[in-house]
Amino acid sequence: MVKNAIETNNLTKFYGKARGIENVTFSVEEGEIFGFIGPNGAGKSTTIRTLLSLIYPSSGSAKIFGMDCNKQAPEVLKRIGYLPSEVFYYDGMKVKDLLNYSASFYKKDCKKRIQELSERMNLDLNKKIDDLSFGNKKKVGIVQGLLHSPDLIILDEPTSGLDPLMQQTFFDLLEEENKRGAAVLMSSHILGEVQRLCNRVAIIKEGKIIKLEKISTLQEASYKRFKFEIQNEIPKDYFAIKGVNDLKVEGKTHSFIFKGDINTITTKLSNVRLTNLWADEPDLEEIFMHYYSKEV
Amino acid sequence: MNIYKHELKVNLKSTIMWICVISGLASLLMLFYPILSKDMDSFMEILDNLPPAMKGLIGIAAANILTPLGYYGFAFLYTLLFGAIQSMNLGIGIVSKEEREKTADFLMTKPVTRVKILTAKLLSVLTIFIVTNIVYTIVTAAVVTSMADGDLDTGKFMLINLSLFLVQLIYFSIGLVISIAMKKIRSVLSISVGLVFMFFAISAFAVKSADDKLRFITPFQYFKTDTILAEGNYEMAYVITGTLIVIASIVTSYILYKRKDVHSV
Repeated sequence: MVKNAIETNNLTKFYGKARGIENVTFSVEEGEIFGFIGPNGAGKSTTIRTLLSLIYPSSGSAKIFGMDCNKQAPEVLKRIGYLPSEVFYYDGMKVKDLLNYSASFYKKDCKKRIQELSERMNLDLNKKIDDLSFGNKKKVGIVQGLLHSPDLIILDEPTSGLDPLMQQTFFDLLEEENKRGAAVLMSSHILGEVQRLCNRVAIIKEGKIIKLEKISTLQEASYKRFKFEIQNEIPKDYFAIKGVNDLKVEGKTHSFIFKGDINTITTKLSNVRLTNLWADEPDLEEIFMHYYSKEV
Repeated sequence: MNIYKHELKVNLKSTIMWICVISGLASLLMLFYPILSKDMDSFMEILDNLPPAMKGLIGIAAANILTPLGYYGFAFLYTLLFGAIQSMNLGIGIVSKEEREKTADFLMTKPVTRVKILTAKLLSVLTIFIVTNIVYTIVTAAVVTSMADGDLDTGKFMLINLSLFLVQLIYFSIGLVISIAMKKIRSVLSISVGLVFMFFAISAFAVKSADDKLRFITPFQYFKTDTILAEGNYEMAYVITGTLIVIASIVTSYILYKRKDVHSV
């Protein structure tokens, strides 16, 4: 049986009366790369911060490697590497001082790994953190999160501020860590990066998980984007049938995303004279948008 | 141990500054003693003509000011005032600065319990206070002894100075519990200075008032130099009150800190 790195059970957090997350239940298997997508304010950070015991759940529970996130926080945190969405470190400290301070919390020698990682990330250890650009601070965050070879890497909006080349290096690093056996939980509102890295995603909206799916299923589920030009006018709602979303009619051009039996569409199309036709795979973003705007 | 060391490093500069301010101010005020003692009669006259509230702020019986140690007791009032600001700053800042400077996410996702974090921070502050008080005592002992021509009641002098340490502990613990109970602290200095001056104002009022109970409200009045000079000891009721405030504040701080949500940026 595959063991779970993370397992949450009806995790709920209210800030006073304001909703944080409600009944969030999901699990991340060991060795898996799991994505968490949703717009800002959906509850991604709240979930992550609860897992890290930075905040305490109103109800429900979360386990990491079989241990309770709150009650056994130090044990759990030993095995986690965390990169927050925005990195802030102590003023006046040099990069290497900060990294050594970070390493001092783990009972292992991290010197070699610090050296390796900073070389990979092209990070100058002797600079003062105050003098670093946003992107370079982010690199400090990455090294800081990986220097103790954690078994679970948690990333909150990891790529903001990194240039594409560094992003690539970072993703390579994550994939290496993953091959080594580390599970990864990353939150993002950029679907491309989730699509690239993750095995499974949870889509979170207004504090609730509305969909848990394998990336492959999400892309494979027969979603098609149709677009065509017609010769003669047809009623605007001609294609407004079940399974059709994002229907747009501009003059003689009709377009929509369709989920379901394609023959339904081809049958309807056979009654229409076309001048042009496009049919292709919608990207995850479109599928995602469509879930967001229509379901729940 | 790593958090303890880190805190000492972070607070090194401000500690040096505070030590200079407190020791410097007390020494500076002491330098006026030889001038004043030469012309004590007219000085007493000025003191007598002050409005009662001002007398309260000066906070020492006029008769005591004639001796070097008595005059030191008057100067010590300002030591207490600035010492209180130093300790209130530390109390309000030591935990809240992690949230304000957004380093809480770093520290609190390390494998260490919050109890250990708070304990390390408390020990570092205790170290800072001890160092501050030792340096202060060495400096003022030298200055006061030279003024007193070597004739100094060491016991009373030490009792006065020890009260700085005790008052600092009280203000620190009050600041700590306030900062942890509050959701967000925007500016440490404005809150700490505000609170200290509030206690200072109450203190002036307490001196003027016949009601002794008022003295319980302000830690500035717990260890009166007049009493120390006259009786050579502290008043038990206030020592107990101070101890209870420190214990209650620290225990409450631990309880609150253990359950506190650390919010994101």
